[in-house]
Amino acid sequence: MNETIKFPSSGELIAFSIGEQEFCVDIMAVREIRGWTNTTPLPQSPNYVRGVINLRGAVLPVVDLGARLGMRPAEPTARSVIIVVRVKSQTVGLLVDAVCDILTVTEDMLQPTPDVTCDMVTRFVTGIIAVDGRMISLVSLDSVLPELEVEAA
Amino acid sequence: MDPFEEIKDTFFQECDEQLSELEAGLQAMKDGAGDDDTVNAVFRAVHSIKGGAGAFGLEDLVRFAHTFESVLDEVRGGRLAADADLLNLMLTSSDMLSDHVRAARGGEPADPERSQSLVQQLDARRLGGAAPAPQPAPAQGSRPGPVLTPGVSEDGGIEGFDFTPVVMAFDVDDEASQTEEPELPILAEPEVADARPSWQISFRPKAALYASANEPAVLLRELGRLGEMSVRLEAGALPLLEDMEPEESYLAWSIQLATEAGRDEIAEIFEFVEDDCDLGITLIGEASGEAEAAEPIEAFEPEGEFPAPEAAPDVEALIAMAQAMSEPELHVEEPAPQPAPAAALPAAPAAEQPAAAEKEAGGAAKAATQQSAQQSAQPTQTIRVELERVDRLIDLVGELVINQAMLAQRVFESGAARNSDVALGLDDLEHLTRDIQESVMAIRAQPVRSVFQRMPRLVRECAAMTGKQVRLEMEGEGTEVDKTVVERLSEPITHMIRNAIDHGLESTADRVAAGKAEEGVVTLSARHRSGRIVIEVADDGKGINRKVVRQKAIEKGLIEPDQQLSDEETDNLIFLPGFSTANEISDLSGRGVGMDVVRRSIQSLGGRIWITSRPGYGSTFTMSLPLTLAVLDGMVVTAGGQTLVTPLATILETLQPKQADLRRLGPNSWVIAIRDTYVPLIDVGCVLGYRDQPLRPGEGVALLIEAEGGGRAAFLVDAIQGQRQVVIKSLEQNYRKVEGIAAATILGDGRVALILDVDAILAKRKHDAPQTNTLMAAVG
Repeated sequence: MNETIKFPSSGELIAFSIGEQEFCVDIMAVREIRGWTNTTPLPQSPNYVRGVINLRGAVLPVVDLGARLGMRPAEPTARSVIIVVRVKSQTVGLLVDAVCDILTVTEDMLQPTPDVTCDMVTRFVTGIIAVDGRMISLVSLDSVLPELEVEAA
Repeated sequence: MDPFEEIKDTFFQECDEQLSELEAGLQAMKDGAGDDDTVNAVFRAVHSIKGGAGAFGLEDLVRFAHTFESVLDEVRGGRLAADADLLNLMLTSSDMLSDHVRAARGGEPADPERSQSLVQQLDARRLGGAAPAPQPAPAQGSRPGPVLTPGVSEDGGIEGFDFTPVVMAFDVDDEASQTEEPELPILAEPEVADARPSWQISFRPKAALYASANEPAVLLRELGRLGEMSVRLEAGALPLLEDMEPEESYLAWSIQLATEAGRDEIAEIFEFVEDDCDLGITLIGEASGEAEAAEPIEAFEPEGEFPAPEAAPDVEALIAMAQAMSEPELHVEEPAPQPAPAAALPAAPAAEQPAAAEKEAGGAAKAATQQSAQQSAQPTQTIRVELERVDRLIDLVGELVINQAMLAQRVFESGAARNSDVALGLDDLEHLTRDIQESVMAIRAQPVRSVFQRMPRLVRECAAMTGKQVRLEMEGEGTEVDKTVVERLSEPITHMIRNAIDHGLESTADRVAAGKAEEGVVTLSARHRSGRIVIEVADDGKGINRKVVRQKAIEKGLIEPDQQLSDEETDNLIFLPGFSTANEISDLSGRGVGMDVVRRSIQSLGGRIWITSRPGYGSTFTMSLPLTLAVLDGMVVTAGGQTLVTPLATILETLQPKQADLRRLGPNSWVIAIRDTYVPLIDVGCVLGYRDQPLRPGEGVALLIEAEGGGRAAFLVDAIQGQRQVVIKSLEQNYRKVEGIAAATILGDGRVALILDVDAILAKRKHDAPQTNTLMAAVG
């Protein structure tokens, strides 16, 4: 995993919910937040890739972040949200249930991820932030899209 | 990019232009269509390459260009006749020059031995041909050849930017002319210095001249080099100090210059500032006898295509002429800047010339008007823009169009009346967006000329190789098509022309026996037709021998011996892979990798190719291509509930499969009978994993598909929605390659639809015959 992106430089995070859990990403990676629109499914894709949508002329893949983290695939409703993020050189939409708020945090608020057995958690969650009794997991976006070689099989 | 590299990059781009200019010029000379302008254009092309290469220290290139240029200078000076041999040598040299440019660019190095041998041959021609007696240039007919004034020719054009005027010989009055022969040019006598024509030049810089960091002193100093000069400052406009605008220009100069140099040379000094100053160049003295002098112009009247610059003498035209000197193909001869003492020079005072010229040489004047019209059209201003920026713009406009369509739809859904203000406004918006789209697309459009102009050489080479007499006729070189399409046209056209000469045309003996002209004609034409470009390569040869083709196809197992084919179908058999009708393998057109290769490259451009043939009268290959690769003609279909786009170019036909036509083959494969041939039936929805159960036989619609590789199959889909042009969008940009999908597009309703990769689907089906449906989970 990418060790360098431990803590966002801006100190600002966008928090969102998937099911009962809360997650957050660096606000600097977020381009925009849109409502759910139906996707065009892609063949040959892992189940967490919902398909593609038209983002003002660009073809944007939408990743079901919950499914990517190993949870149940989402059943998107009109209230579901797509967070458009920039990952490396690509732009990706993340399907989540709702956006909660913007958090301003300092580095000392970031706790190491508790050692749980779930593979997906250790792979994508870089740390935990406790705010007002909420537990919010900081998600690393670097590998939300499937890698080519992994999927070659 | 490092700025130096950027400049170098520009240099190489210009090299490409110069090289094609060079080749076109040499070809024109060889075809007998060249005149002085052509020779000069050719010379300038090599000269510019050399100049640029020198600046970048590209020594090999400079050395070769220099040798080449020296020969061209001799030809230009009329001291070396450009006969067929020399032109062939020069054509080969232009290839070598292009090899050197490629090498300098970091490509494959040029063959040093060949280069050396060419240098020697060029030198040999130059030294051997540098006889003192000036010869008429080739292909000039009765027209006097260009000569150089000896004083200038010594260093003419070799060093730096100095310019050698091209002198046109005039058959002037007997007592004035030193010879009766129009072919023999009047040579200037530099020693008669006293009689140098005197020019009155007024030069009034505008503020912009200073703003672009030009310095009148430098220009005046340059001017002084041309001859004897007296300069007077006109400071009358200079205001009082307190009224003076520091950045305004108040000074002007009036100059008297006695020089052998022509107007061009004088105007050339001001070349870079001509827009930023008021410039007047007038010849003074030597004013008598202009009427007689103009007379010889009439001699050229029948050759209306030659410009008669004498009839375009006002200062602006002169400047335009000077400009034209740097323009390819548009070179205007200057009245002979001869120091001959006789008054019979055509160099009359500028103001009096138009009347005289018009009176004396109406036809020539017309030609000149034409010429100046061309001039104003020719130096169109251009900018170099990174392709990426243009493409981004094209993308955005594509979105604008979709967005506008969506907006219109929403407005009408909301109940607005067709004649309401909103609706009318939307109509205007639609027109505007369409206009913008067309204009933006036009930025990328280029004429096919760059490809076409390579063909005459190819034809000559092929003709020489086959021993046939061939004439190439070209039409529609100006037809424009997207840059990427132009770049990829060269290969298929080359192939088709080779094929036309090698297989299409009969040998000379056969032609004569058939009562045809000895010379075969190959026609290459381009034109626009219903939003596509249609390129045809036609020959007037023997046409396709259908018996032989059929026989061959049966031998090669491409068709069944008893298969019934229409004439058209038979003709088009030659596009099948592995089919080659030539009994012997010729050097020219391939070893059985003939027309199927052509077809594949055309198909990869989203185009189609077919042949029509009339036995005894020749064959015509027609290819139809989209004007751009950013847009695809597609068949919009539904499969497994999803909207998909199939490239129209791959679809041969659509049909409603009847249950009786379907046959099971193996455990879970189906084939469909289409007129006696069985092709595999592929359920697209299943292959892509959009559906578990295949359609039941008899359901859906089948598209008979032919892949680029030549394989056929019937794609079974739920329904056909219709044909549409779609804008191609990359999936890889934000995602990755998806097997079976070529790209995506955005439909009018704003949703993304996937474009099928027909070849991949055909290939995929072969690999994993039993369909697994692990993908179903992904489908929402």
